[in-house]
Amino acid sequence: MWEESATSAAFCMAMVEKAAQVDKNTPLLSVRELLVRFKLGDGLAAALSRGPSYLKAVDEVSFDVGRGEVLGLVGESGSGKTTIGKAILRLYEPQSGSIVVNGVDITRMGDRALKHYRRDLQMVFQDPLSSLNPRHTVRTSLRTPLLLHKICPSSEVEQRIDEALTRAGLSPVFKPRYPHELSGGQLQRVAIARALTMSPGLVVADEPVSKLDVSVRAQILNLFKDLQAKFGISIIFITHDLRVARYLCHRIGVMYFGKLVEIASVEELFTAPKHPYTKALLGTLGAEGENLDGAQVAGEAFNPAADTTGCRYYARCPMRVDHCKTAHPPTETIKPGHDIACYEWRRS
Amino acid sequence: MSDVTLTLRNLSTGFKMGGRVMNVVREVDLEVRKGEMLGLIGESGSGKTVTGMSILRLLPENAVTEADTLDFLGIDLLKLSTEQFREMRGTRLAMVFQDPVGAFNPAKKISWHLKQVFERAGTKSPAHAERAKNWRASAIKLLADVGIPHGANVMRQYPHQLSGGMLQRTLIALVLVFEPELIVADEPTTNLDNIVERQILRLFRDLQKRLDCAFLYVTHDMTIAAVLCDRIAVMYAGSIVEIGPTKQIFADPKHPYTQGLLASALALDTKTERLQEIPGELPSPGKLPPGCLFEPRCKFAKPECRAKEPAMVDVGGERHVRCVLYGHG
Repeated sequence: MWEESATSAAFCMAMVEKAAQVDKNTPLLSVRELLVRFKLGDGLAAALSRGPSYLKAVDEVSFDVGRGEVLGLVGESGSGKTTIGKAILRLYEPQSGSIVVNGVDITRMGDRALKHYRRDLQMVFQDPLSSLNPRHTVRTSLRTPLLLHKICPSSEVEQRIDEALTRAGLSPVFKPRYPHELSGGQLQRVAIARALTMSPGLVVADEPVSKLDVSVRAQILNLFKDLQAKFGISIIFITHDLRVARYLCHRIGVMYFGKLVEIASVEELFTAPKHPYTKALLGTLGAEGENLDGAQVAGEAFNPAADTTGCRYYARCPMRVDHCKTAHPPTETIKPGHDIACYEWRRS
Repeated sequence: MSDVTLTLRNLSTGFKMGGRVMNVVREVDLEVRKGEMLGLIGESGSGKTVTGMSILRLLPENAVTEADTLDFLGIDLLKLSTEQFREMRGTRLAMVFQDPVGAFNPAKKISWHLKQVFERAGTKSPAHAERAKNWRASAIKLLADVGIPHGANVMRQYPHQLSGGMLQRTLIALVLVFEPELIVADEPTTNLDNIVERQILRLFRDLQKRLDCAFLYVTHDMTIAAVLCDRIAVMYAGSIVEIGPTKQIFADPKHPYTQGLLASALALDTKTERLQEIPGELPSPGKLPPGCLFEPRCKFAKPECRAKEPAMVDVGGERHVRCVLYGHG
């Protein structure tokens, strides 16, 4: 069996050194007015109308992630939370705005220069089975990025793989196995191990537990918590489950159809939510006893392709007034660390 | 008992694989009563969906279902021919699926789906025939019943134009056309967002109060079962390990697996520093451990647990547990 050894210490040292290179006060990640849009319909309708129409999946979103901070992004499906995660890793090209990592703007950086930063930004996807190559063994999946980024001499590669697997709570005996031989929880551990081999500064975890069973979900959430505490990694944790976000995150940002409508510390968000949507989401919580009549949200959701003026939440908002129809509210800071986009928050 | 809608005794379902049958549901005993919502809880791979599908004969051809009793309101479902069963399915026994998108024909409008169902229902009885004649008005009324106020608009649309929640409501409306006596709902809210999920759960609860039918509600989510179900059956690796009234199970779970499941499910409801884990993973159907199936993960495991699989023990108050901690039955 592999034991905690000098390489593990070296790994920690590397993390510490890297963190020391830049000023402690600059956030690890700074996202400003990020806009990601997708072209809709290349068909006849698009050709006949004046021009292509676009769906703004992420619409001028700004936030920071501090060193060693876990930021949760919550929202319904289609709210743009996954798109933000992928845009930060430059897996989608943003239309405008900026992504600054350790003080360096990577928004328009070319592939060659970007390679250096890619190592620092890792992602764990929702579905571990499709994020691992089915024809590669666990060993190959973990070895490829190590060789690609020349993380260590090839003689040490095996040891690094064992280390990463052990850290993710998986025995190195899984190395020669193929993805289909592993359970969902084990696969997610491999995906986490793969992200860890890069000693990343930031991990974007996109719903990493939503496909796992309840009993295994707790194991993986605890793993994230332990790794974060041990190595001080920053994490953007994307989830639709507010309770999961509360367990793991320091701050939570609430997304609604491409807009970040509220962002605050976990305590603040849970005890003094201001945005009506956040309140509605919180109203869906509560287990036994608290009945189903809690959050009553009116009928239709926002249609992201059609409505572009007015507050995104207008159609479902219980406290809407006429001027909410004119434009989406600007983001204002109502307290240090607590931002909200709502005209009427004072009334709540 | 006359108020029992469905009785399963010793139901086992397996799949033929390379000459042998791999059982994924083993010796399940269940009763679903009229007007009751019975929750079938388990993780993926626990056999809960296969149990539901076995009742409705919706499994592929390599599936083998065996049972001592499969009784639906006095009808022995095992004795029915494929044609006879087809007459029952959808009319008296119905199912609501997890993925509403897959349940609709994407090339046809919602009105087409409703018309089909009303026309089929029209052949059943004069009352149904009357409704089938005015199917459009009946459909709009039915859609209103499931919480779609502007049914006429919805009927003009194609499935892809509706949201997941609206589609699930429409699917429930389709199921209700026949006024079935048993509805099997297989994770009907899993693909929906939190807020919409709550709305659909509320609809199910209203339907249960309004209709006089029995529900078998399949889910992995304990918190849903808590707000919705009258009784809960917990499945683990193909067997029912605990069954009883929801309130009692939540107040005092008996089986170590139920205890772990509840702890993991409810731990997130309050701010905690550390989640309680159930170590290990579900055994695969090909490699079941000897004796109690939960023994390798159980913190109360004793040598006798490995000897043979424990029998269901009656612990009183309509509660049954499959664990040696409560005797040997």
